[in-house]
Amino acid sequence: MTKTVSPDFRSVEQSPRQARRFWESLHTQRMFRTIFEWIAALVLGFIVLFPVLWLIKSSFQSPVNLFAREPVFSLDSFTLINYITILTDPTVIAALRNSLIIAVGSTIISMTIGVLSAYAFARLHFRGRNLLFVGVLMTQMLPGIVLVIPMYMIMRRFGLLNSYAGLLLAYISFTLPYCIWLQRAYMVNAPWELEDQARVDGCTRLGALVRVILPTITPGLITTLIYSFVNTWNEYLFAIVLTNPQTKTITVRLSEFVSQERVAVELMFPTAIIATIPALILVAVFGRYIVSGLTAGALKGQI
Amino acid sequence: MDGLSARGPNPVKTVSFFGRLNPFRIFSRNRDGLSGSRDSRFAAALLSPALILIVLLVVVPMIFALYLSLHKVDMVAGAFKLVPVGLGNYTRLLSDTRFLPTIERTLWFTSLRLAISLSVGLGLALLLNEATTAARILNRLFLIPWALSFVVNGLMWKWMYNGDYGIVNYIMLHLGLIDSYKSWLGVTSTALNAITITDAWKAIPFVALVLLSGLKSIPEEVYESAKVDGAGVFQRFWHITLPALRPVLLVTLVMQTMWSIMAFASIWPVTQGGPADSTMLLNIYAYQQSFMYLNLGYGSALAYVITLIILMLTLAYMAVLRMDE
Repeated sequence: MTKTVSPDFRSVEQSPRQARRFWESLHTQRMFRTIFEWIAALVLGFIVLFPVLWLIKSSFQSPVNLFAREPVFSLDSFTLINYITILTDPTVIAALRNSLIIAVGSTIISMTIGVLSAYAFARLHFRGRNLLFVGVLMTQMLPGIVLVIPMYMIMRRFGLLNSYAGLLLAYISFTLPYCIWLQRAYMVNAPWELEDQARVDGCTRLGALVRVILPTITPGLITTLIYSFVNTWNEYLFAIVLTNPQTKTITVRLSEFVSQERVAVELMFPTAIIATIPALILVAVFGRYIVSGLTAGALKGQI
Repeated sequence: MDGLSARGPNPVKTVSFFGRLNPFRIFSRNRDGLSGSRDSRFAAALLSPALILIVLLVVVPMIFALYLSLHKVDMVAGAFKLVPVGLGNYTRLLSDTRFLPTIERTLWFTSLRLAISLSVGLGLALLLNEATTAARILNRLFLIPWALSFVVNGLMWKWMYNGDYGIVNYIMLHLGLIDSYKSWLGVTSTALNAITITDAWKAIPFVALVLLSGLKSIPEEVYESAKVDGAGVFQRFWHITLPALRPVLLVTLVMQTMWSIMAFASIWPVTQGGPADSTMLLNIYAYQQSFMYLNLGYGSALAYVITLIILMLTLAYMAVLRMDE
């Protein structure tokens, strides 16, 4: 973007006065460069994030100001009334609760079962390991639609349709292979000599895994957790097919603000913001882990 | 990032996620395969919970979907009744006048989405590669679109495209790009492109951050020596950056193609495939046939067509990785 300013030392040798002028100009140059960078970043950030900013702005305005030909920016047009309406709406609260139960549940189950398999794939030698691992990876590539149709019929038959357990199992079908793969990727690089030491000290293999190896791959575990949680929290296709009004998740509730007659934007936007907050908190706290996992998640970060 | 690489997978290496496991050598005998039967038994114990779940939740449904695709599924007195039709559902695809256009639209959607997300994403990655505080902050902020759900993304853009109050209209009118407010998602001529931009926008930061990690892996010395040799900015980009990015770019390309084909949540709640089928992509059509018309057999056949396309892309993806090795 900008050239690196490298001091030209020949000019320094010329005279002390010239040298001082040179260093001063360098300082100004650097300052201008910094200012330029910040302005560029601000403009770029504004353009890329504009839709989100617009969503936030709209969530604080009443219908009178929202449904105006020209956008309204005046300070007194902002109100909390939409948020109050939404947060006292039992259907929204129930949907948030359902999403939380299912996202947390499927993440915990997938990570626990996944870590055992990840260990087997990373550490143990057995026949058919590569074949099995590629098989697990392939399941991640499957489109949701080919699984959701049979799941709908199977779950209907076994009374799992519209239950928490049904959606939980459906989500495990994609979070589990993902957790196995990502946890294995981090485990391969773990300091395994520590495991040998722990076993000399009398630890069992699983004991060594839990007490010694897992703490060394904490960043990987956090990445896996965030991915699993965000993807299940935001999931829509399985949720819309496998839930009913009692068990529907927040993404389904959100889409219901769009009806044939009108779109209840003044209620939809605060709900959208609230629905994004859990994921945003994770991004704010663990941002650096996510960035490292994004590349790992290039395989499948999106459901 | 931030000293993470010491323990976590190396960002660039993980892009070729098979690592040393070459998918094309899976049938050859594992060198250590026969050495430890104790290992094997322990492995079986560790793997069994996951494998049982995967078989029950993925393999069985896949087989059942194949079975369904060979049947006509009728709802009789609140229960499903399967009537075998052989390959009827697949031959029906060929005579379905709504099916072929969905392929065409999916191709257009995929190409446009790739063009937007890869070009803008690469541009952003090059800017973010500058090691400044501003770039680091932006880097973090760009995770916000990633954290948004596709439903929120779709609905947010639907509002911006609104024909009466949308900010897109307001901005374009004031820039002189249009004469009057348009309902971008409401008319067949613009709906598909509008919804493509929606989905591409969400992919941009993701693409940018993946490409950025590829850029970070290019050693600074290569650029320095090229600079000494008198290579300009564009020459350095063309002869150093692009070749070095090639593997990451190819992987991103294949992955983004798959995601385009599987796009659902940023389209269905917004347009439901309308108006007049103009945003009816293959995946959306499979959903509509299955769950709006309850043609679960025909829907399964459509779903298998999608799966076959994805499978071919997966093989292409593996071939790309293999080329790299």
